[in-house]
Amino acid sequence: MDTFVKALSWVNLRYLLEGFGITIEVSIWAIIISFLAGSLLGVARYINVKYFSAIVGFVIDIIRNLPLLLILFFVYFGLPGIGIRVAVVPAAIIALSIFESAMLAEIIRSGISAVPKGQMEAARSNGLTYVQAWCKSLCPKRFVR
Amino acid sequence: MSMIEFKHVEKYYPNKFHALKDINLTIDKGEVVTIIGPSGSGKSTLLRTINGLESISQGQLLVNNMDLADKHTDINRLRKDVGMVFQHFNLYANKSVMDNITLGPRLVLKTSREEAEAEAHELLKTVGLADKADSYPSMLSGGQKQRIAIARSLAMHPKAILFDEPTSALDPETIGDVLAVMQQIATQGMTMVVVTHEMGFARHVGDRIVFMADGQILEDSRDVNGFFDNPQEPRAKEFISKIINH
Amino acid sequence: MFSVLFDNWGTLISGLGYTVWCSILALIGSCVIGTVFALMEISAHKVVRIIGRVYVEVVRNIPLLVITMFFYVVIPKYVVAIDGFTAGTIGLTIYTSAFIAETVRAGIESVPVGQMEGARSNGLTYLQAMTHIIFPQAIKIIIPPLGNQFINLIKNSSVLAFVSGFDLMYQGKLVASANLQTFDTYLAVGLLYLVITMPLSYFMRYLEKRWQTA
Repeated sequence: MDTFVKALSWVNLRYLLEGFGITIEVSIWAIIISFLAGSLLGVARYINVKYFSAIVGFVIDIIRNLPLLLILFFVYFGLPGIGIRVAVVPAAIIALSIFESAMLAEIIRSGISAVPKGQMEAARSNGLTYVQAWCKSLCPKRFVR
Repeated sequence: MSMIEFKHVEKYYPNKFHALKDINLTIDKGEVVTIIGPSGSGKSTLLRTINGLESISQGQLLVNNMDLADKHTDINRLRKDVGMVFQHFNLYANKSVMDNITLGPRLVLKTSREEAEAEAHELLKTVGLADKADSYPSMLSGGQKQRIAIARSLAMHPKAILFDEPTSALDPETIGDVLAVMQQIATQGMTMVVVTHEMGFARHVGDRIVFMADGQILEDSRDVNGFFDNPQEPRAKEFISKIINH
Repeated sequence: MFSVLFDNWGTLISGLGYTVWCSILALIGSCVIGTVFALMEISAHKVVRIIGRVYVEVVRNIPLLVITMFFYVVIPKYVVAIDGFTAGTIGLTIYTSAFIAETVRAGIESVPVGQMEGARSNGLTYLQAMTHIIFPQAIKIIIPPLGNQFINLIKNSSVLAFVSGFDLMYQGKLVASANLQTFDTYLAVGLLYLVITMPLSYFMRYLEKRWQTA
């Protein structure tokens, strides 16, 4: 029990709080980046360029099926092997962002496909172009999802 | 001999809503009692306290000599003797009609599979659905489902059956089939408590009519025809006139 | 990458074996524990409900690594010695059980309440109703998310690397530090993980499609 108290003593607490600070820093960066990247990726699945969405989908699948730890090790330990050196915190942010973007992309994709086709059809019949229909009608709904 | 006895029963919901007010009601063996009244009057709540699906806050409720407020009462034993038929059937979606009817007897009454299935076939004949033994509930119409539900209750050899608006969810054409089965059971001497809007059934099959409004029993008459021709309570008068004018 | 794979085939495959074994054990364990807590969360007794909810909320919000370290460092110090693989597997089991509890609870609650009412009115006890009527119907809802949990388990098992659990990640680290071809080694490790997780992933997707149109 007294080790527990010692752990919370000021000296040790400083270390813990420093660590906590890094946790927060990495998390915030990763959240922002993965939100942006994930949204882009999620939407990218719907671009009608041949094979583009399929390739994007495949890459997303691969990342989603790998352990986060492996991606982290790969960025921090693996990349130096071919000459790219990354510092610790940026490595963590990059790895987390890659992983979470892929996860988010998948969530967004299922959110989009859950919005009834009827909405899109209604918008198109009203004369809106593909892009217009997207932004005005579907975007708001899918973000809520 | 009384089967069901309410003595000064009160029920409050957790949000303080007073659902049942001073209910006094005695139902004897073999009686067919219809409970009618406007929506929200507490009819279904009253019915559901009889087999313990709803609890009572005050008063005494004895069913088949078992005290529902007593913590030591074995509610499963009570439900062996008092069956229930629901507005939305509540048939076991993952089991065939045969299994629906035989599950209770096999698990609770410990009847053998052969005996239970033989009886089930008889019951299916009685309700006119002998060929549906291997069907699943999703393949049946509302009226068929309800008749199976009645057969399922009968399979437990209950002393009484409660009916909670049994025909309210049915197409008009199929209501007749279900009411016919209910009438059959009534003539065979089953104790029945029926919450319904089917005034024809109440008038011609029921022995007794109970009128409820705002959680209270306002009128309780064994002269069923007398009630329909000339209700005593003003609220009952209002209700009956509205229905007759339909 | 492939040279690394061939040279260290034995080590890496042994690691993969430990990974899969740990995942299977953790899956079974977390399903059992998860179901128990799910039933507690929907119990009629307030105290039982609260205990269930607290367990799920607390465990879900602690990082897997912290839970695993607890079993790797704390338990051996005060209770009984545990090796890395066991500590990792227990940690993984506890962590995942909270998620499974929520999945199971959602599955049970998705079964219409009328089914339970019909069963109880038919004279069945709570246990009989659960076993014959509710659970069989809940299982259909539970299986897809459960499949995803299993895939997550396999990925999360990499935490064994930090507690000398001999899993694929651990062996990968060893090999990489030995041959210094970190890029290729981790690529090879990734490939081996994908060999297990990708097929599972596509299988789950196939199952989901099949059940939706059913």
